[in-house]
Formats: sequence, C-alpha cells, structure tokens
Amino acid sequence: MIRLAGVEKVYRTDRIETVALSQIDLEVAAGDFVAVMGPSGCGKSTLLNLIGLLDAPTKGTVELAGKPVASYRDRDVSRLRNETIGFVFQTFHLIPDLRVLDNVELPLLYRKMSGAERRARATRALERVGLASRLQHFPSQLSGGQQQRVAIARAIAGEPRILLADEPTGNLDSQMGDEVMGLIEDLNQKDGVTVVMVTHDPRQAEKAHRTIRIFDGRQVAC
Amino acid sequence: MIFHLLRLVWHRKRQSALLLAELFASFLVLFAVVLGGVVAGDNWRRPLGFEWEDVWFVGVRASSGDRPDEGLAGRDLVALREAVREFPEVRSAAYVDPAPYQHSQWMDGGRIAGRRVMWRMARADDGLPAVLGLKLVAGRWFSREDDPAGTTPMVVSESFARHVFGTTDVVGRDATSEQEREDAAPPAKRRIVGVIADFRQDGELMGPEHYAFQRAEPASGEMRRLPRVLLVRVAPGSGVALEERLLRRLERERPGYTFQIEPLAQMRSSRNATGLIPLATGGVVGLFLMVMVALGLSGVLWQNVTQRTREIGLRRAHGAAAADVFRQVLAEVALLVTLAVAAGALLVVQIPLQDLVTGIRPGAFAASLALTVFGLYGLALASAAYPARLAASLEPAEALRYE
Repeated sequence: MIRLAGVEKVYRTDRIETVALSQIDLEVAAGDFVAVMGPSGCGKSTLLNLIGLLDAPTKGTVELAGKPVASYRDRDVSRLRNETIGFVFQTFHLIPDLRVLDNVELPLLYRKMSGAERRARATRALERVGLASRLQHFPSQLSGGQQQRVAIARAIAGEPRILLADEPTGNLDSQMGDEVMGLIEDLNQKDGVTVVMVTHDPRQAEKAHRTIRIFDGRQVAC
Repeated sequence: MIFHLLRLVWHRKRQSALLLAELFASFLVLFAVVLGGVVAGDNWRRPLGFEWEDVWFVGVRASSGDRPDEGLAGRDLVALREAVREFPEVRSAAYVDPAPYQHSQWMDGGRIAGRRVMWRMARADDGLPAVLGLKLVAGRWFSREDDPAGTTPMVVSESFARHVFGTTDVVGRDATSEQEREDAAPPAKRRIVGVIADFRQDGELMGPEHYAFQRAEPASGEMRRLPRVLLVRVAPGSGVALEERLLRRLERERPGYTFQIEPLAQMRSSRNATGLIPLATGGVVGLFLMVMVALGLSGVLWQNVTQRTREIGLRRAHGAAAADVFRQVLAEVALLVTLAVAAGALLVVQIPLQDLVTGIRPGAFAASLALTVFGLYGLALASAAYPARLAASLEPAEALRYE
C-alpha cells in the first residue's frame, strides 16, 4: 500500500541545511496499523507528510498503491490524496466558521458529487463517530474530544484506504484519548483502513501492529 | 461549492461586511461615472436639431444701454440685418435670443392642456430656419401672416408636443398657460403654428429637453424684449477677412451699437469643453477611487489569505489542488461582488422606476448598469488575482504548520 525507498528530506535556507529525514525505507501493507514514535523534532511529522503527499522527498521514492508519485502533477497528487488518504491532526484543524457538518463535507467538495450525497456521507461519518446530534454545532461549541471525533469523521467521510494520524490524542485527556483511539482501531479492524499514526504515547502505540522509531531523522528500529 | 462558500461568507459576516461595504460604495461611484459617460455619449450621437457649420454669432448691443438688451430699437435691428444680407458671402441672417451654444437660457413653464410642462425657449425672427437649417416636422415657421392673430405664434419641439398633447399633430392648438392663481396677471395667449425636430440649444452634451421658439420679429413693431443675437450663415470657407468687413459695415450702419462676432463652431468647441470638464473630473476621480479600491481590496484579500493559511493547508491536505484554491479565492470575491451588485442594482433601478432623473434613455441606463457590473467584477477579480495566486502557491505541509 505504502512504500518509501531511500527517502531523504532536507530543508534548505540561505545559510542552513537541515536534514529532517535520511535513509528511510518503509513498507506498509494494506490493513496494517503502524505507530511512528520518536522524540520531538526527530522527523515523525515530516515522514507523515511525505506519506500523505503533502511534501516531496529530496531524494528517494514514495509509492502509493504500487505507483511512484514523483512524476504526478499537482492535480493528480491532489486527487490521489483526496480519494486515498484521510488526515487527522493533533490540533484538529477544524474551520471555526463552519458548522460540524460543513467541516466534515470538506474532502467531498473536491469530488464530483451531488450536494445531497455529500450531506448523506458526511452525516453517516458523523453518526459513526457518535456525533449525529452535533451536526449544526460550531467547533467552538464542542469539547476537545468531540472536535477530534469531528476531525476523524472528516478524514473518513471520503472512505479513504489510508488514515494518517499525527498525534491524534496529543491534545486530549486520557479518557478522550482512549475514545479517539477506539475509533481509529475500529476503522482499522472493521473497515481494513491502513493506519499510520505518529504518537509520543507508548500506551497508544501498543495498539498498533508495529512501531517504527525515528531518531535524528533516521529509522532506528522496526 | 457555491453554497459552501456562501455559508463561509455568511459565518464570516464581520470580515465580509467590510469588503461588501467597500464593493457596494465602489458600485455606486462606478455607476455614477459610467452613467455620466454613457449619457454624454448617448447625447453626442443624437441629432442636434440645427446646423452650426458656417454660422456666425453676431452679438448686438446698444452702447447706451446698461443691460445687454436695453436701448435696442426694432428699426435698428432690421437695418443691421439688411446690411448683413447685402454681403454676397452671406446666405441668410436672422435674430434669435438666446443663440445655440450661448451661455444663456430662458425657461418657461406652466400648465397647458392640463399637463404641467417646463421648457427651454428662445425668441426668434421669421428667417431663423434658413440660418440654422431647422427641420419642420409639422405646420410652418411663424411669419408676417401671424401679425394680426393677436396671439403669440409658437413653434414647439416634437418632445414638447408629445409631452403636452401626446402627438405631434398640434398645429393650431392653443398653448396658453392656464391661470393658476386668480390674482395673477392673465397669461399671454400662445398658439402653436409648427413643430420642429428636437432642438438642443446647448449642443451635443445637452440632454433632451422640451423646447419652443416664440416669434420676435423686429420688423413687426414694438415688443417688450428684442432678440439681441444675429445669426449669419456664410459661404463655406469664409474667414477673418469677411468678419472684419462685416464688423466695419455694422459699425458704420449703426454707430451707437457694439458688436461681437464669433463663429458658432468656436462657441461649440468652448461649450463642449466646458461641458466635458465635470465629466472628465468625475472620470478622473472615479478612476482614482477605483485604483484605491483595487489596492484596498488586494490588501484586504492578501491579509485574509495570510490569516487563512492553515485553512488553505487543510483544504490542500483534503484534496484541493492549487487551481481549486486559486478558484476558491476568486469565487469568494465574486460572491461578495454579486451581493454588492445586487444591493447596488436594487438601489439604482429606483432612478428610472421612481422617475428621479429625466432625460436618460432606458437603453443608456441598462448599458451603464451592465458596464458597471462587468467593470466591478473585472476590478475585483483583477485585485484578487495576486492574493489568490499566493494562496494557491502555498505548500500544504508548510501551510498546516503556519502559526
């Protein structure tokens, strides 16, 4: 499903060259659940961005579903991202001026789909995360846990095959964190969604099938 | 997507209101400037109702009078006219007051045949049609045969006839104003003897106004006010030499008078230049305002894009291509322009509906509205293009990290 070979990511400014990732080789099979751990600033989020096609590697190749994406145009990469990948972020990234339902509809806006179908899919996703009664609320009217559930609903509204979660429980207390992790596990086990999750929390990482450790931009154990 | 953007604009009422107010005000200013231009262009294309080429203005003034028309004697005016007609280069000569392009106007008004009407008018002698090439559409020009009638003969414009009587078949109709107050002096009796094509005394920039000529023939005995402009049609190509000879002849004919000769073509240029000043000023102010609006809009949108960097990153993460982001910024602006245009159009259509301004043809009004709408869309979209390009060029990973 996901294959990274000899991936390197270097950030360059006028004076400084920062190697964020180096010599990353990684394969994630369909239906896998991988946790990525490591200290702050080690390159975990950069790795997730590369897998999620939000960034391009300086060196090496990224393949998604057997296809190298380096030669893709922006339009094709965007379509692939829209149809294949769902994102969950630590800070939720909900649009405060939009109601919950409109936030969840967001990925579907970039597909050829009727308004009615979009609404139906977004409503189903919100039902799935237990927020059917909050469709018309604004994000500010929800708790942190509820906001992250809305973010998960948004990530799964397009029925992606891959879910990329960047510290999804990082801003939540343990009870809310467990609820959110329960949802992610559920998606992996019941729907076969491939999950790659960045976390600091060893307790949450235990729920993954395997853990990748990154240190100073290098993969130290698999 | 449109409904999504509408909801976004609606929920960002406070931020949107400022832009909306700016666009609404721009619409009104742009409409006023465009309407002024379109109406001026529309007027320019209409027939003038007279021919100004090779016609000279000769202002006649008695040296003894304090006012321009004081001290004039009918017999002197007749003698002066005859003296001018003696020149082989002179095709015709006639008195009128005020003359075309002259900075002078005479308004009259009243209730005629039950209709209230205001009109511009001039006093003229029997020979004016030959000098100005006036086009009669019904009846005749006044003449000596009107002397014994006891009423003032009047030749009205088509618009006057239509406004008052609903037709141009008005020859012989009484045009005496109704007496509105019992203690007022009885109004002078007037009778329509002819109808001319619409006449625009002030020239090309003048809108359509009702017009009427009243007979003032110096040869027909004493009258309260005599016309003091002699219009002279000369042979094509006549120049300063003739002007000097004419002046000398007039001064010799009546030494107690002073004369001012000026080709109507010269007066036309000066009058049109004066008329174009407010239009040009409005245009420059409007243009300056539009540039300010464009810069303001661009700045506000730039700031808006910066504030929404993370949202843009999020949209990119969820599948929006750079082109989608570019289009979204433009679409949001277009949406605001649509709202501003709708509100502005609702307001400006009251002008023709409530009859607030007369003399604007529906076609000119519609053309101005269409030009303003296109102009505002063009201005707003051009102003939004750079911020939209900035938004589209944001790297999704960087945009999501933006603090």
